[in-house]
Amino acid sequence: MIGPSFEVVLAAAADGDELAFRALWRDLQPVLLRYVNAFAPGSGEDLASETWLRIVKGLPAFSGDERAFRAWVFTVARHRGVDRWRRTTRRHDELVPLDALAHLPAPDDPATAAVDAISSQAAVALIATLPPDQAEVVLLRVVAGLDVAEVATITGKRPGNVRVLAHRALRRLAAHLTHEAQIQGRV
Amino acid sequence: MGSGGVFPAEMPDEPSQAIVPLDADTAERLLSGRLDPDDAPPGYAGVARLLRAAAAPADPAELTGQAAAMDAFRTAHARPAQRPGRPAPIGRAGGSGRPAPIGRAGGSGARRGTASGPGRGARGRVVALALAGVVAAGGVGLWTAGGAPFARELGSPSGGPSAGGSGSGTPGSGQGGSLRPVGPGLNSATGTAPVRGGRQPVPPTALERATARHGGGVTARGGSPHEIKPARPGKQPRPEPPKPEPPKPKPSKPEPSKPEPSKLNPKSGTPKP
Repeated sequence: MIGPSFEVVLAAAADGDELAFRALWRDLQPVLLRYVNAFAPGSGEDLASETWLRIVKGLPAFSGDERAFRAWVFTVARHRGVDRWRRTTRRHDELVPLDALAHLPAPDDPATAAVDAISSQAAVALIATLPPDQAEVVLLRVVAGLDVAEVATITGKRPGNVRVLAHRALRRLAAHLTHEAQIQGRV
Repeated sequence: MGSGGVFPAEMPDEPSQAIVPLDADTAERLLSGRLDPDDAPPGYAGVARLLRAAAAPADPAELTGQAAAMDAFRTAHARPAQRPGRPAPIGRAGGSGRPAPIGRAGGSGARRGTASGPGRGARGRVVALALAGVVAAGGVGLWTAGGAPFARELGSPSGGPSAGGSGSGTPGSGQGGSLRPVGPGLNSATGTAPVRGGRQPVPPTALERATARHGGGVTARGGSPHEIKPARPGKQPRPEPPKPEPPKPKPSKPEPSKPEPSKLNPKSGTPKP
């Protein structure tokens, strides 16, 4: 988070100041990348780039504080992801349900990798193995740093539903990690 | 929410029963990264570590696209500054026929103070404008002064009758090399070039008259660079379709009167006497 100087930075970026835009980008790009990588592992960079293009175009018209800005950025990223999914589906002429995307096998076993190294990538990869709605809620809450109301707005769910999904996700993660730890302990 | 701050939906789906249900406050602290793994409830220490790792500070590998992002930002902010008074390429200075608005030179770049802002944009426009004026005025002057034949002799693809400086023989066609004076630019009634900007018409030169006789025209318009209004491409008067000639009345030939079959001689076919 940039903090109290956010409004100044945002105004300068909207006015074309490169240093100000760089500050915004450096603050948000890593978490944005983690978010989009969770849903589109092969094209996270492209999605992030598309998102930033939209952000740059919309900067002069944006008004709000830093939390609102973050929420807007992730909303744009989510829309880009959905658009890309639609394009991909149309191009390949396959009717793949959105839920199926999160169950695509990862190159490595993210659970083991997360337990061992717990790098941010491995952690996000493990979160991405959750059911999509749970994974999205956790990522928006943890990675993007948004609160329940903001996540509810972005995902189009009610705040109570967001809380339930987050609880389910935490419990599922705990069970998964415990199970993995038990397996490793036996070995 | 169920009793004890536990969500009913939090009942185990498939996970083992060893995982205790989370209360709302603990879950909130977990999700916001305020729960230390050592203080986490049984079974949630790993989750706390995992979520902390997911929200870890940026890795340098995640910032590799900075140069591309800055380029995109620069491009996005440079484009509006060039839009208002964007000079047409010199080769097509007469193509659009739209003068660069001097009053808006600098455009939004001046307000924004971008790298492509006031100084560079305005200077570029002034230079382009001046070049366009030079090309246009030079082309007109060259042509009306009878310079075009020299250009033709030199085999130059430019300098022809296209006063707009399109560098083409046909006005605005963009095809070089041809010096065929075409187009409606020359006033066919007076044989003078239509002049704008309040300048007095110049008596046609011999060359212009000759050109007019051969059905061509010179688009010599404008005097000042701000009033360059070159001939628009493809505005030649469309030749009227050839009218179909009225059918000529055929001279009616008197048909030989056929004798009645009954009066013919059946053997020889000659009329019976």
